[in-house]
Amino acid sequence: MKETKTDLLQGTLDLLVLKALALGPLHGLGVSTRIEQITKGTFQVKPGSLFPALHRMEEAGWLQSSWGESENNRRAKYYRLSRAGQRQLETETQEWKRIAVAIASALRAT
Amino acid sequence: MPLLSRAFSFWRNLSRKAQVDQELDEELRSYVEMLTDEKVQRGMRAEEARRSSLIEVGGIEQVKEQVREVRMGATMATFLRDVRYGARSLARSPGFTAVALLTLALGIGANTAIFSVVNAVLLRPLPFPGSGELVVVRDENGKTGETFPSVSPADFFDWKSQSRSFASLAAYSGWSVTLLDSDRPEMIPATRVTDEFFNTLRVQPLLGRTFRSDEFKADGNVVILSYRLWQRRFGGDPNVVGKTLAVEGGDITVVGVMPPEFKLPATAEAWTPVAQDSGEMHLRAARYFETVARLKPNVAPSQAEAEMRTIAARLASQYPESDSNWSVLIEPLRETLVGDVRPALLILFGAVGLVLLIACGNVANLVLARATTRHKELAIRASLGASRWHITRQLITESLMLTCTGGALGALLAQWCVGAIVWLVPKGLRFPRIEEAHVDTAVLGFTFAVALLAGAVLGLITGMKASRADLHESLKEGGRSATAGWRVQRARGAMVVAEIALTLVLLAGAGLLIKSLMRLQHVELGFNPEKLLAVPVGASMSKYAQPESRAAYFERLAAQVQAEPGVQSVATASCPPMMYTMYFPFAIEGRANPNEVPQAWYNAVSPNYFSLMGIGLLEGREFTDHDRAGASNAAVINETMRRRYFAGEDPVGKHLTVNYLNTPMSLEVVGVVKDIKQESLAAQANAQIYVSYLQVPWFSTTLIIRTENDPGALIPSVQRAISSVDPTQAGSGAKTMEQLLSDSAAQPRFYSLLLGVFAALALLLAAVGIYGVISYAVAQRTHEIGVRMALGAQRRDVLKLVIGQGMILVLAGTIIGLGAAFALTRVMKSLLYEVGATDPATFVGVTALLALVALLACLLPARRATKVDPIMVLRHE
Repeated sequence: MKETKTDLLQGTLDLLVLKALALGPLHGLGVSTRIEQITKGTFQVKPGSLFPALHRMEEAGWLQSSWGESENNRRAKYYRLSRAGQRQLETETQEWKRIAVAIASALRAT
Repeated sequence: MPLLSRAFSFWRNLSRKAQVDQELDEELRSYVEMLTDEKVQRGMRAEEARRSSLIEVGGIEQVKEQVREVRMGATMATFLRDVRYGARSLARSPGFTAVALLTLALGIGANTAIFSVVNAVLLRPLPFPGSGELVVVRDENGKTGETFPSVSPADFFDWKSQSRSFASLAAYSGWSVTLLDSDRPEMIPATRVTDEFFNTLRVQPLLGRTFRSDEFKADGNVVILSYRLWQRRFGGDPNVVGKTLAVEGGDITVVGVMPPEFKLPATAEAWTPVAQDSGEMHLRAARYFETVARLKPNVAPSQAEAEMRTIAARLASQYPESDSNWSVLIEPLRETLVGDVRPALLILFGAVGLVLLIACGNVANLVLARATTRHKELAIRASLGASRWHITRQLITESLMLTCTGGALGALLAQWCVGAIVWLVPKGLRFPRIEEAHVDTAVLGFTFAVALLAGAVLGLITGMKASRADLHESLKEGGRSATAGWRVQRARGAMVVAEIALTLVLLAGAGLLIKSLMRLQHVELGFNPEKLLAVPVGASMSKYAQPESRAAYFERLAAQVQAEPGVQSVATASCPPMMYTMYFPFAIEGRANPNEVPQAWYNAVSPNYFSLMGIGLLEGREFTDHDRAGASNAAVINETMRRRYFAGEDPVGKHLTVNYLNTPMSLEVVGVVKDIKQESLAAQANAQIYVSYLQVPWFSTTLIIRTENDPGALIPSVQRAISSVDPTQAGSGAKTMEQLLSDSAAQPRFYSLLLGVFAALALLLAAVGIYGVISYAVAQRTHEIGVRMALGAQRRDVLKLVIGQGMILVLAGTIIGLGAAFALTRVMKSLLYEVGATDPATFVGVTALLALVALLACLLPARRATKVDPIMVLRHE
């Protein structure tokens, strides 16, 4: 079993979860698989950080949940983005881009 | 419904922890299973796959704990943010906040105050262990339908020996003890009790013991003091038990002191044992023993009643002359103690509930008005990404902050109000347990619940209106909004209609009570109550055992008091009006009707009683000084007795037989006098038999003194005169007739006062409500009014327009309110005296009052509307 290669920056997880769910509703395992796929294996989210994040974001009104059937007939809780979640994704994307540019220029300056 | 299901997420997290946990558990379990499935598909063995999945998850319990923390934290954080925002927003409009808080404090405070009374009187269990099993067994006359709170001693002991339904059955009866242990003798209201009294109630004395079974005899000579008497007269002396007190008729030993909460009956200052071996226990026709019984654990009151009815039927056939037509009724002790005040209390409670509704209506109006002006703020928040739920939640939080603060202020207000209510309440037996009323945790819980409910309702109403509003529209409309919030305006109109309707119901109720109180205070008494003083005096049973000596003693007393300066004249009566009544069974000689035992009020009076009181003689003669022992027994009857029993005959010269303490006493009717109000202002006249106290003196009497000036000022000198005749006798409990009459109207006055205050409060709130809505409408229609005036509308037309808008609401409210009042005031029937529950004059009067106040409330904004300057308005275009 491989270790997480990169520690998640504070706030990055939310953005990744929102991004993962922007493509469609997923259950918990689906979210962590999707994040692994879209980051090409850089980030691997463990249940210990995934579930608190999902519940916190649901509480904040960004996610909505409902119970459904998984691909192999297991009962699973599915999450999807709410309208507020979509807006949050846009805000955080902008924010992230701003930070990324700032960090990149800061690194270049030295 | 995502909005609703999420609306109570905070609540759910707190209260439905188990379910949230279970869902989380399921979610994690399905995660592990799916991970395992995946690993199996990749070729792992099932068992190994599961193990590795569990390791990867890293402790399901820890994950759950982390999720829980996050959930609570997020909810709390949102909640606190809403509270902070709400506080800022409320502080920005201090006028609105102050008015809303004051309105809510009044509404919730009044409810809290009345609820503390309801709680103390009706809800809290009686202060006796296992009080649910305590019942009162009472006599019921099958013929006249009257129920007596009491039973005769002989019947009581038969009940006790024959019944099987009770674990114990006890009786008690009021009397008095005259304490002689200080230089001023004092007559103490006392209660004689039978042997099982204290163990039926399961009360323990605070000091000493209760009575031993060998003390229920003529020479028992023991007493138990009430806490009140112990504190007042003995200064709470811890060594009082064992002390011997000098009382009129011998010495008496204190064996115990009862705890402060023990008050049965409410007036008792001391308890003494009934002499169960005396001849008195064979009295069967005089019903003066009150009962209290404890049911056996598995016996229902109805079973006990069925058994008691069989026993009563047996006694009726055994002793027809005293018991025929008498049966038995069983009711819970609580009912006997507080049953009389329950309807009135519930009506008052309902009335304050209506006041609170009106208060909520007003605050909702204010909040709605504010929501319209806050439209832009909310629209901006919405466009910045706040969801509908966010905004609704914010409004609910603000409403809750308002109502909870209002509730806290209300609780403070109630603290003060309860004190005022208890102080106002008629003293003594008329209002049981009221002195126990105070704002306690149960009451505060009620207040909190009311505040929460009011807050949730307010928040939902305003939240629904606000979040439904189209964000686009409100931003586009900008400053001028001629038609914006039309829907909100309609909602406010509906609220005013409801307020008017509720106010009318309250006004009608209060109007009926006040009218009935006025009727009561101007009732025809049948005697002249001016400058009258009534001073009860006892006569020592040992010194004045013989009727002749008693009569002579009373005569000497009257003569001595007559000599006091300031006294105009003195009469005596065993039962002065508004003070005492006594019933005796009687028969008319020469008429055979064995199945009827009529009862009449009995009163032993002095010959000058009728002339002193101003009671008119209708025929025959009054008593004279010759109606004394030795002469043939004379009786004077009242007109009700003549009408009921001597229709078409002349009663004068007829003979009556009164069952006088188990001995038949023959009386010749010598005269008929007019009816008077004997029992109370409201009670109907009953048949009444007067006898001459010189001939048949009762065991005690009351001096009735007509004074030259203020009767109250004469009390000390009258008491001195009484002690000068016999220093071992006391005259306590002196009252002026004015006081007695006022006491008799105390209860209706109390109810009218409270309901009147509530109705006035409702009227004020409703007026403010109408004023608010019409002012707002005028402000919104300024432009329209300006245009109308520019087109030639006169002041009069504008006034008509605005007032018309208000009065349509008032008219609708009045129609609904009248309907509701017609349906509701009938519950007040038992509180009314000679006023119908739908008295047309009252209904018309209160409607007119309401319409007038509403008109004034509309007039102010209407006058403002006429001052609109059309040029200014049009220039603003």
